[in-house]
Amino acid sequence: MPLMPKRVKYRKTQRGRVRGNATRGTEVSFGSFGLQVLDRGWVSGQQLEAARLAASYALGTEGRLYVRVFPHKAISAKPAETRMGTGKGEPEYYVAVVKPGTVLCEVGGVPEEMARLALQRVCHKLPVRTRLVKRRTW
Amino acid sequence: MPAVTLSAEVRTTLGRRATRLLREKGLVPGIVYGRGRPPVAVAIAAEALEKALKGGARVVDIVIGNDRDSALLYDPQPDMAGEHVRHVDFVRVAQDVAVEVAVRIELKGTPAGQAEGGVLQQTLHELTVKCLPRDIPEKIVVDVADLKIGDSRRVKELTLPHGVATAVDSEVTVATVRHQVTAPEPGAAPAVEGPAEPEVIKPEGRAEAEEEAGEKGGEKAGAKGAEKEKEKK
Repeated sequence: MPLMPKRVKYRKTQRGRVRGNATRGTEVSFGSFGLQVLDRGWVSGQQLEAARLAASYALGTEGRLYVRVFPHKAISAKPAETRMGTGKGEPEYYVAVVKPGTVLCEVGGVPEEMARLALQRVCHKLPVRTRLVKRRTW
Repeated sequence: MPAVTLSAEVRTTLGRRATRLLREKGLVPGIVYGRGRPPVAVAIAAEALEKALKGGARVVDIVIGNDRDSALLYDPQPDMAGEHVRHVDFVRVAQDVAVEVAVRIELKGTPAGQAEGGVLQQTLHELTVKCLPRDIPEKIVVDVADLKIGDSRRVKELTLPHGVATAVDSEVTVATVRHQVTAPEPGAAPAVEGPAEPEVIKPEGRAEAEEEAGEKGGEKAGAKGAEKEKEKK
């Protein structure tokens, strides 16, 4: 079951455009290493779940993974072979809107090599370019 | 830590456009204030400032023209990518007056509980301490080697350097060793399925009106059904 909100005020949302850079959630705050997004885009609940599992298997019984984004935005789609019109389609999946600078997930309690491996597995599951960042010391 | 000297020039043009032009020239906008003197907007060479920050400098000597002040490097604002500094504050300090600063906490050693399957989790990464500017420690090292599963290291257990005190609650946890929450095996039965779609929050008035309408509808339908049954009889 992919991630999605439990309760929403409106079932469907407009698509909008992703503009600018992230101004919040740009620091490694919980773990020691993080994965910072470099593109603008959407990360679906399914992709996040796949990324989480990939990191869990890479970390095994060590360390902890923190996922810093949540798919709040409903994306609707029309069924295949349907004529245009008759209103907006039904919500198909949910996405997290990400901007350059967003720290998508963090890893803590493991050495750098292991964190690097886990986050590398994570980035293979994502539709955006990312890079590894460390907790800032200044 | 050797004393770091930063030379700055006074900024006369303020605002977004002026600061953008400054950054393009390789300068960082900043402000010097404190000790009852008027604030001065300054510009500092980005390279020197970043070198000082990465070197762990906390108190620097800032030279503006003929003035030389001892100042605390305070609240450096990183850019979106976290590589460069966008703005920095310099708080003038006296060498004989205590200051409050956040100092990094570094964990040392592998906890004993890790061998039993525990996971070390650091919950406090910075400690706010009060001390004289010359006594500011670079970091506070916390030994966690003896922690077993379920054990924690609290603020009261930290050994702070001489002349350094903290006002942080002594019961606050710095690090703990917890049981590892294991991930489900690949191919294992999926977790309990929730609803396929989120619940829609309705405004209170509307929700009540709909409920009432539903009840009335139900009553009417019930009455009609009874009438029909009577007619049939």
